[in-house]
Amino acid sequence: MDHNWQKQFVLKTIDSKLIKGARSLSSEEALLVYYQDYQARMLEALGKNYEATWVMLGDEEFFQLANDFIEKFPSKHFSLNQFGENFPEFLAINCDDSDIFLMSDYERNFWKLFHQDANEKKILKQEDIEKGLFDLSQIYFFESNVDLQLIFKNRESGISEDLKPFINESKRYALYKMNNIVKVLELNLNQFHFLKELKDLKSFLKVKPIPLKEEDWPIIFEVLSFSKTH
Amino acid sequence: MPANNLFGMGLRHAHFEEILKKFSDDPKSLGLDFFEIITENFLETRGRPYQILLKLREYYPMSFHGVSLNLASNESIDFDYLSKLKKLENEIEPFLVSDHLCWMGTKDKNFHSLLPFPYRMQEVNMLSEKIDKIQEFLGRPLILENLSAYMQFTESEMSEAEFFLKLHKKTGCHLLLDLNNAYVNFHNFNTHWQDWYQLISSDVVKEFHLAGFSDRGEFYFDTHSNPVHDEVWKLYQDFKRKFSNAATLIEWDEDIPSFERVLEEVQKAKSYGS
Repeated sequence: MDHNWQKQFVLKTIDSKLIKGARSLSSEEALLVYYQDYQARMLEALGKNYEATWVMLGDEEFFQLANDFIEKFPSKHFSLNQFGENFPEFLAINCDDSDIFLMSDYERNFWKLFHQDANEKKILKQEDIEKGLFDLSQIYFFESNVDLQLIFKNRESGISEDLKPFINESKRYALYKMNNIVKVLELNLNQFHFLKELKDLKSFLKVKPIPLKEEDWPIIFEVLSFSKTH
Repeated sequence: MPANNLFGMGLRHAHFEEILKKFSDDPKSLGLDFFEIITENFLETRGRPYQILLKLREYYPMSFHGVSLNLASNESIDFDYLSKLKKLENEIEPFLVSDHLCWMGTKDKNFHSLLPFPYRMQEVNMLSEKIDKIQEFLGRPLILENLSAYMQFTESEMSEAEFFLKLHKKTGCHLLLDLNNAYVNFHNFNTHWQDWYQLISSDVVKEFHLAGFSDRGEFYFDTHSNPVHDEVWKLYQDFKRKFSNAATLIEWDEDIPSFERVLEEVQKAKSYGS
């Protein structure tokens, strides 16, 4: 028996004479049980991690893209939860619809947040604001023609069959973790640009002036209260 | 902590809400002795599942059941994985740490499936070396589970039970005896479960696993998607008489029913095995 039989098994080139199938299964059929099981497991993992993307694409297109992805990017990590980390980029290249990319990117970030430490809300002090330094690296900002709050509600209750998440206008969102729960918050245009720029530049002092109204601030403080402490 | 005659179930996300509700009513009255976690599901998270694990651990012993040691692979030991396992072990202090007598794939492709291998002396030697190193790293004996399989290797020189016995003698590793797997293999290959009963001494088996298989017509498939089969219950009663100190765990991983339904299976095991 060749020392490389494991590599041959993986590459599907193993000599079938080495194999005896269960009961009436031929050796080829027995091997197929394992190969098909792998495909099904990976498909299930992608479907679980990108559930809303699946709903938006529909079964046929999702399965086709997912199967192509599984073929091209075999799982290498010990945890199935990690499988498909680069699926959004794969969709961006292989799928014409930019909202699908945003959806899958949102799901990936949701998953990352879900597995983070419980993020405690902190009371913003005057000195925090005076220093003007905020780390928003754990907060994700999105702009999309997809109604994320609808998707989000369905994620909590189970995705419905007749989900119609596309909307005519573009909406803006912040995704963050509050204690042990991932939250999505809708932002107006000014709030979104201000916070997104603050996330990139990490300092109030560096953010270029944006015409914020008084009523914009409560939401901004809400988001800032989940920033990481310096 | 000894595993003596405890009865538990696999901790699954699908049961979190039910468990938490019962737990808030009376944390000590969930109706079982311990939970078992799939180790990999908790190695890289500090989110809600981990917080629930910590909460339950305050009242219930935990056992770890891994699927990634990849013992029979030709690849070297993954010490990055082992370090994460050891860290979690230090945090949770499980009373058992188990994995499988199998390989999972190569560094280029992880099948996430429990793959059989030829049972030969060269594999005994290779696995013994790895088990020694892993046991030394973890500071405790490994507990290894027998497989269910849909293919065997024509070059095998011994049965799976004989293979395990050689490993046990060389390394002191223990056995997690999955009676559903033993029954599935009996159906699929006519490899008799009596091997396990006759060859293995009573102090070597630390845990039983019980689950339900699916009948695929030409063979039985180990899906963990059904109640424990009647024939497996009969086996369990026989084996539990000999291996009376081993813990017992009910696994249900697909088409998972309510927590209460799985608990019924735990109670059934308790009534047969106490």
